[in-house]
Amino acid sequence: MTQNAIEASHVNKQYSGHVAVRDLSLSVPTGAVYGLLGPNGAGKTTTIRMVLNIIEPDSGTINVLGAPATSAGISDRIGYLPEERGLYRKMKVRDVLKFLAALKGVHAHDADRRIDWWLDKLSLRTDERDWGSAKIEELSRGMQQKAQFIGALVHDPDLMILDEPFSGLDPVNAQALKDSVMDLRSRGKTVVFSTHIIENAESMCDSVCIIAHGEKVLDGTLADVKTQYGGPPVEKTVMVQPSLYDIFLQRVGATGVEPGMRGHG
Amino acid sequence: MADTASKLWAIVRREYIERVRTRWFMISTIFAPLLFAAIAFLPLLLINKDAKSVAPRVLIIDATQQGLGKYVARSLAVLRSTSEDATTADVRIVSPDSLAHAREDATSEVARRLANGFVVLDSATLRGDTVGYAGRQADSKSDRLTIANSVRSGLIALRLERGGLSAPAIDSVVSAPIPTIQAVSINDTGRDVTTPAKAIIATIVAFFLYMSIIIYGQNMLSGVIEEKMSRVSEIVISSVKPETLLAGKVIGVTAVGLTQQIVWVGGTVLLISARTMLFGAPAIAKAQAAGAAGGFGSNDMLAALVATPWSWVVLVLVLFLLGLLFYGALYAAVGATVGSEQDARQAAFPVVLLLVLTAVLISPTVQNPTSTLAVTMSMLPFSSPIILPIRMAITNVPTIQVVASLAILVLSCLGAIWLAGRIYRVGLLMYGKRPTLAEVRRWIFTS
Repeated sequence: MTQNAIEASHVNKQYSGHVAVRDLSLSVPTGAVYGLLGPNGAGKTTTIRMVLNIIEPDSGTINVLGAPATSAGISDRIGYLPEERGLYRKMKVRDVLKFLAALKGVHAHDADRRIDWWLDKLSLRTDERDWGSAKIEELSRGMQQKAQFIGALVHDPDLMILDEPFSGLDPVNAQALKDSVMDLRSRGKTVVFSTHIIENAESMCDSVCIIAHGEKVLDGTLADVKTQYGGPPVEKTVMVQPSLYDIFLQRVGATGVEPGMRGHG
Repeated sequence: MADTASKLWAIVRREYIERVRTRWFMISTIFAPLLFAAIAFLPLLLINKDAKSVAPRVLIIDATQQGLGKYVARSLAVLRSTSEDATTADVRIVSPDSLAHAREDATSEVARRLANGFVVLDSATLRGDTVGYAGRQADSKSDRLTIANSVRSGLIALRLERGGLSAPAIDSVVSAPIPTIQAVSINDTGRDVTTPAKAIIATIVAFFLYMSIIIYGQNMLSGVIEEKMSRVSEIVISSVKPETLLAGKVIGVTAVGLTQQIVWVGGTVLLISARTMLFGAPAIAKAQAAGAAGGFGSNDMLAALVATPWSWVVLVLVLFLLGLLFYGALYAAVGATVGSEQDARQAAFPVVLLLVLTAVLISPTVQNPTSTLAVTMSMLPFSSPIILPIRMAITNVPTIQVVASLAILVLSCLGAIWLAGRIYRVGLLMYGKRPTLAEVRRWIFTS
């Protein structure tokens, strides 16, 4: 697969009174982790919603996974984690996840198997307790976010779109999520996430696009962006103690910490 | 690739199962048939209770010395034929001198609940002037009337005896049965076939329809707001069109309401058909006899309920289904425009107003189901699901009116769903301040 997972061309979107996105063109390579960066209100969420065909652009074209974003069936191959989260509070975790899977066309027995696998992987099902049979409202905030993350990828999407995925997560859960994202990449999936926490983007992304005031400021692979806009490399020698972040992860026993990974949730 | 239908089904199923599982649904579903049955069974219960208590006795103190007492007792038995075995008259023949003493004895018996009351027949009674009556319900008009009538019959019998009529002939006069009145009332348009029982049933059914629509409408409203505020709707509409989500919710909620109505109808039918088992055939026969002799009673409700035609029940269910679709769509549209439960109360006001207006018209429709107002309201989509069943229950509605009403309602449902879909599509993603009417109009009519 050489085509781009997302190909947006000269996209405009205007709401009554203000321009949300202006003449935006971007290409997300298949199999890459792609960061959509920008300050709050830059147009990240609007862009994501247009890619997801939740809203239509006023002009311009968007192709997703080789077909126009409006094509039938494309949405079944996309996973989406919106910025502000919530699930049906009174429903049981497993029932919510099965519902979300059904919306993506996953059959019930298939869904059960996948849900169990993810509940195990994200420690929502342990020997002590199966949180899958608890109601959403009984879960802690972090667990709810994990449940929602499962909901976004239970149908094994080819393209995963995460809007501010790390906001509100504690470092342990943020790390679990980062691990899962890297896991998806290693399986050839494309991951797009928006964030205003640049450190996260730097540690995870292959390519980035920075937007501000609805317009693209720059885009490209991380290396290209650094070369083009960052000036020549500067050699620094620093002696550092382990960061508080490292100590935190060590002490609370998070798994899968990649060497050299930095950042905070 | 899952098609839209299977995704729609997933939404309908979730809406349905999550609502049916709630405690509120369970309780309200069981409650209504019990209420209906209680109303219908009340006379049966009362009769059973009476049968257990001591039979009410009436003492007849006869100081006439001409045998008036026995005729009065006979006549009293006929007048109270409905509960013949429950009322026994004990005739005590006394001399005028010992009347005071007999009175005291009788008073003490009534006080000790050995008798219900006593009638005193004396020379004034023979002249047709006065008759004494004392008892626990001495001010009951119907009791007084019964006693006066039986004394009058007794006097007639006594005069016939003096005139030389044979004892069997006199007996046949005194025990002539009292016919049941078959009353037909006439209103402005001619013969009025309304029976009070039918009117009461129609009112209760209309009230239940009204309550159901308002409850499920509000239920829909809070469901939409919950989805919007928790952003679940954003996840759902990244998988299906907003219109599909709306349709799924409306169909799901309607199905829940319909399930409840079917259980209500089924439960009521079941309880009524089980009445013989619950109360025994004699009690029912007695209740029917009491109903026949005593005019309108809640026993008539039972008869009217049993006589309710199935075609009417089916039509009520169809109208209810359409009504829920109509109001469900409107409530969903309101839910999509607001950002909190508080805002929702204000925004839903116009929809609630339509329902309240309909509720206010229930009583006038029952009283005059053929008035222009009632006919008009049974045509308008916001009131027809509640008003048309009332009219059909108590009067003959021309078929053309029923067909027209249904057609208007179906078209209005489609219109409401289209309108709600337009609002839903934009409103779900609008957070923050409530949109103005102009903005909502733009959502509906642009692209």
